[in-house]
Amino acid sequence: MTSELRVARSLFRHRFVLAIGSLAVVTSLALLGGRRVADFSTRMAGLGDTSNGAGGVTPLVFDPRMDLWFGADDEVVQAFHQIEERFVAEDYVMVTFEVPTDASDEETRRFGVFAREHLATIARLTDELLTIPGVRHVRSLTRSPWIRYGTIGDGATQERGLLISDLVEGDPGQLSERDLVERMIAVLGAQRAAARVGEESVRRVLGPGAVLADHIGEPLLLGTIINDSGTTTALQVQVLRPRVDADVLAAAFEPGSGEHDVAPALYAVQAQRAALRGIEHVLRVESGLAPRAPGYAQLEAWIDTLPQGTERDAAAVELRNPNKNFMAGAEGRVLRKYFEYEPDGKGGKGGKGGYVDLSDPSQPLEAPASFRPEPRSPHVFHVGGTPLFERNFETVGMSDSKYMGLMMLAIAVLLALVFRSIAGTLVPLTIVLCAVAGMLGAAFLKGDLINNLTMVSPNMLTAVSIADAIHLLASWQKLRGRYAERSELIIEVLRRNALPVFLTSVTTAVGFYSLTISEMIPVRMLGYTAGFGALLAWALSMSVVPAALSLVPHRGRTAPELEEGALERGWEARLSRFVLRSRRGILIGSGLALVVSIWGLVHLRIDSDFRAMFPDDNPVMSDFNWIEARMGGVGDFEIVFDGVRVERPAWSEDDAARLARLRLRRAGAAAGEAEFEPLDAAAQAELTTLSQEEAAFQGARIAVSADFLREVDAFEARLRQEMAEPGSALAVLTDLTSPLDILRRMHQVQNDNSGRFYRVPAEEDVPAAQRQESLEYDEWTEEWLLVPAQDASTLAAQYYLQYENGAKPGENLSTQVSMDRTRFRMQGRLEQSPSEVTLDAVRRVAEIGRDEFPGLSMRVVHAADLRGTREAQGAVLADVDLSGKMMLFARTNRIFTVGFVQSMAIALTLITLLIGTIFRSLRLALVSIIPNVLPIMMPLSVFGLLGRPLDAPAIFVASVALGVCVDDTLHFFTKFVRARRQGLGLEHSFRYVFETTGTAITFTSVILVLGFGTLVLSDFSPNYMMGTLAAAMVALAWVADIVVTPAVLSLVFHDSPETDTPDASAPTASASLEPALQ
Amino acid sequence: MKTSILMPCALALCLSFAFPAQEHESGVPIPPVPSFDTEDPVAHGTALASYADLRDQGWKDEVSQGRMTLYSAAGDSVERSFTRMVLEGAVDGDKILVRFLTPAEIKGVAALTHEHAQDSDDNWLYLPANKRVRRISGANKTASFQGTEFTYEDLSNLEIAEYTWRFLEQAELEREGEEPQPVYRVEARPRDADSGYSRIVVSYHRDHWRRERIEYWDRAERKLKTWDSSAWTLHHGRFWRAVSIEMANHQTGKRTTLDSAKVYLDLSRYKSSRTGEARANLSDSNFTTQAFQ
Repeated sequence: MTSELRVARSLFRHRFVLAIGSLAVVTSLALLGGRRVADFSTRMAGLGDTSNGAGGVTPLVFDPRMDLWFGADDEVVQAFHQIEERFVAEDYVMVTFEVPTDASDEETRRFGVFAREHLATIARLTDELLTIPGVRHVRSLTRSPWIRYGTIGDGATQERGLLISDLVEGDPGQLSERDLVERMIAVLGAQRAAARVGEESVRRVLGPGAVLADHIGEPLLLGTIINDSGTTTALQVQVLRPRVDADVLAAAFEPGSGEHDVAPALYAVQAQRAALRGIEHVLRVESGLAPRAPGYAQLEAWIDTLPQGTERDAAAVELRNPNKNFMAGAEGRVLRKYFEYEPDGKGGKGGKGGYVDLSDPSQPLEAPASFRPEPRSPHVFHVGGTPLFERNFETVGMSDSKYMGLMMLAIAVLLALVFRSIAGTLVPLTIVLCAVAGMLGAAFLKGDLINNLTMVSPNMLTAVSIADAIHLLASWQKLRGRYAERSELIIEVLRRNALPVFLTSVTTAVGFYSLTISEMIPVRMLGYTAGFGALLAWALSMSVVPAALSLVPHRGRTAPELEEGALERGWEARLSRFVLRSRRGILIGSGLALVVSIWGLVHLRIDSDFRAMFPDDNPVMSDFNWIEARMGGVGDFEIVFDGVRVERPAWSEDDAARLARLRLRRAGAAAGEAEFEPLDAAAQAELTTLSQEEAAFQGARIAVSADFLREVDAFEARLRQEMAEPGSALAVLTDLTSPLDILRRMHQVQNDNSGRFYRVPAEEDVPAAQRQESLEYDEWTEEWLLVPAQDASTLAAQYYLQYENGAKPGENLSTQVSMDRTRFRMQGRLEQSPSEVTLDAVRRVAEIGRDEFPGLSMRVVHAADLRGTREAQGAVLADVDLSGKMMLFARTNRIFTVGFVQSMAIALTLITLLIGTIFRSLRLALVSIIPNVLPIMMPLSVFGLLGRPLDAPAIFVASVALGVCVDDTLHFFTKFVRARRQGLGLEHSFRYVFETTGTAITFTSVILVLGFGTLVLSDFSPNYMMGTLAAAMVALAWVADIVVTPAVLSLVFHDSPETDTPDASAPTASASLEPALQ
Repeated sequence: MKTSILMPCALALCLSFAFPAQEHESGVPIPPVPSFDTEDPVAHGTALASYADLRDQGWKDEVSQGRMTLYSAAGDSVERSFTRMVLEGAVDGDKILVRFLTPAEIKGVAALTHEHAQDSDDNWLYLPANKRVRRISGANKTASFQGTEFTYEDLSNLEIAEYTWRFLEQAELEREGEEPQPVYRVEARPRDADSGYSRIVVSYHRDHWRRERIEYWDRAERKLKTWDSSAWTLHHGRFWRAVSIEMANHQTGKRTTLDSAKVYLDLSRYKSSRTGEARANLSDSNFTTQAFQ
């Protein structure tokens, strides 16, 4: 008895135990995983309420964190998190609108968005946006700091001084035309203002002799919250990624657990989502799309009945909270506050332009026919920013999960067509569904959540796991009429398939597990999740299929004897002959295909341009494009200068006090004050040592170092110069802001507002008298005061202080300069571009820093990013980190590519070794490479040949396809080797292979092509590409195994088998091969 | 409801026991505790706040050294030290002069404030690096004080007329490492639209009428900050001053502490360390733009 037969018998004997056991495992995994999700979601809700108030806990299964895509030790990610820690963790949401240049009212035509009506809209929106929990600050045309030199007070106390106020305070309707012009000059600058309202109006404000070019406007606002022509304006809403209090976190999740690590970031995302809901609600109210529901009045009435006190206040707050659309009122009944309508998107040509109610999906979606929006202002608001972007990924990702259902349906229909039996349809479906449920359950149980990549794991698993069941069922179908006993039939089905199904499952799992070496967490997750799923599917197939088949009524031996010569005319024989006859052509064709594919692969560009990933009519992307066209890039770019280059000597407050006393003593003695003893040698030595230590300590405080400020000023100018050059690598960088802007503005207002003083202060700005230390006695504190010598550094430090004295908390310097003044942050805005363009810009910034600014050491740029190196020369003032979400995204490309090449190489090597070992044939192993690799290379190379970039995440489908290719090859080889061992010639061996496995391979391929094909409907282009590529690869794998594999085999194997003498029962060429080879 | 009418009388009695003699070292008598109308929480709250205000009057002037420590969310900190001189305003607001001592690069920077009960305050800033005094206007109430978690609004006196007061409850204020303190919790809603807050809640010590804690809610009605005063010292047997003040921002995780040392209240009660003679009180002339350069 062969070992295969023993295994088959054993499987048959224990089939029910095994089936019940594997189903029990799957069920428990699914249940436990589900409970873990429910538990996790409940605990998450305990961190803070981010719901819409409807009650209940929404299960959290999706992990939208950006960090997920990078390793924890990635330097750029670390730099990014350091920014969060040292400055502030928040994102900008831009709410923008424009006014028509040909408006019917004259005021809008003249003043653009500065017209009183529009200022009133901005003021109203600003106030409302500020009531949203999670919004830290709103910078808008009305609520931006307006710092200027002017007249303060009235009458006797009138004095010139620094005026700090919001651009528009109070009711914009009260502003005179002159007030409007004054503000236009302040923001746009005199020349741009004159272009709108005429030079005469501008001169009436500035005086006839004013030099218009001196009034430069506010660079911090221009191009950020208003465009140059004053027709488009933005409200920059700063939305926090809130921290979770450590105690609250520890109470909800056990410290050290994975969930404890994930929860804060996930909470921050959830809280941002809640704030986005609030922002959108405010805008819908403004556009008349959010009328109050009857519940609002009921809630109001209920609150009126409550006694004065904390509870009533809390309820009133809850009613006004824009983040929540539902609220528990009298007797805890949850009521809806607003209808939230949105155009149904079918408006315009031919559409009826109706409205859809978004607020409560349980209600009918259509708005009542009588609904007409009553907008407060006529503007169309465009909203952009990273949080919307991130949410879009989730929205599109979640909507893609519907293709799972579609795929199942397609498969069910195909199975029914192919097998024309209930068992043939239901058994594979059950196995696939169970495998998917078990796989997801296991993932949840492990503590993983779904992300955009693992979102497709059910589709993938379906594709690869259905093959096992199909091979078993195809054999069963074929042999069904030939056995008298049910047990014989099933044992034979198992005997034929146990080894190939096991091998294919193992190789598929190897294909998936090879992904776990990737640097990227989602790829790793996909690897072990789907790999486990593949093994689970194997266990289910080998246990549930025999169990289920033994429940199907057995019809006994019914098959008629084969007609003489029928097989000779069958497609199997004809295909075998055809392949052998045209092997030269096939081989030449394959060789050509290989060459072309390699050429195409060399030219393949991988890209993660997020704009290209969504369809043009995706609302988030169309707003995004709208904003970018008018206001420049909205992607973040961070340049952080770090003065702490080496471990600094400890410098305590005590040291500082000792040094101060010694200096005072020296100065006092020098001034001849009796109470100061001149410094003796020991004191002098101490003074010298302490002074040196202080200098080393102060050297790191770059933000208050004139040397550094001069360097960074020049660096900024250099970057701006290239940003302005069309076609340069930096053309995608639209803006740079830093504390330099504040220093320039402070210097300007200290010097009568003159535009000539809009520059970083320098040494000559310090009066000569102040450049020496001065000593005085303060009789009130009864202490001596030694004011140190002043220079450009102290002037800068004092300007910061002056600014901080007037800035609102939201405009605080602490988001740009670290408190200890050792870190200095410059922020740019990047236009959305292909990742290589983004990375080119980053690289160029690094190059400029490295080659032209010896004081700057570009630190966090991977060696691969910069061509050539240069040793730092001279004194380095600061290390420079380049970071930002946009750059992180762009960098995923490289990680994707490297990960892809690595995992493919490993998987291919392992699989080749495996084949060589199993079949004990090096030749076979080498031959296997061609049908395994060619189908994967060809579709990928098409992108290269067409010059179309491939979305980075889609490339990973190749690993899945490799699994499928190998499956086909293995089924082919098992049967081929079996035939050869029986002493068959090439033609008969191929015929045997086609007869035994051709149908199953074909069925599986068709099902997979259609299954993956459903992804073609996706709006998210990585998924779309993944579907297309997978379908093409599977189809080609089929062609390769049916045509190319035999052709290659015929090249390396001779027509007469070299091993084993033919079996006594060796079939003759004319008889059916089937029964003989049992 | 009868008890509630009797309460204030009982309370007044208790208080007079606690401070049997109206005579103090300071010579400033303690104003009698009025009987509070506990029926109407608004009247009650307003009366409590007004009395606490009245109670801390008559100290004339104050000189102290302070140290501000600014903590980031990550726990990093920086220190700044300064001297502070205050002249109590008899009619209008106080006059305050702050001069920085450390870090070295801002040593000598001075800020002068003339508070006004009705109008907005007058502010001047002197920068030694360019030797200029600049009047600063509209240094917004909601603006941060020198980059700390305190805004100008927080540091200025809580003018009774600028808020709507409402009595909330009597409570025991519990703080780590401290005996529970008996307090009145009184809510204040700013009347001024320019305020950075929707409301604040002040906890007044029931015996000493000190502001033990102030809680702030932002305009979205989320709790924003908490001010805690501790390590109280009694000056001249009459005036309480907190040696340690902490302002914690709950939304950003940042906080600022303010520690005072060498606090002198009413300078005329001290002798000069140089001359040994009695010192003079501060006067308006110490709070002019000429004086602080």
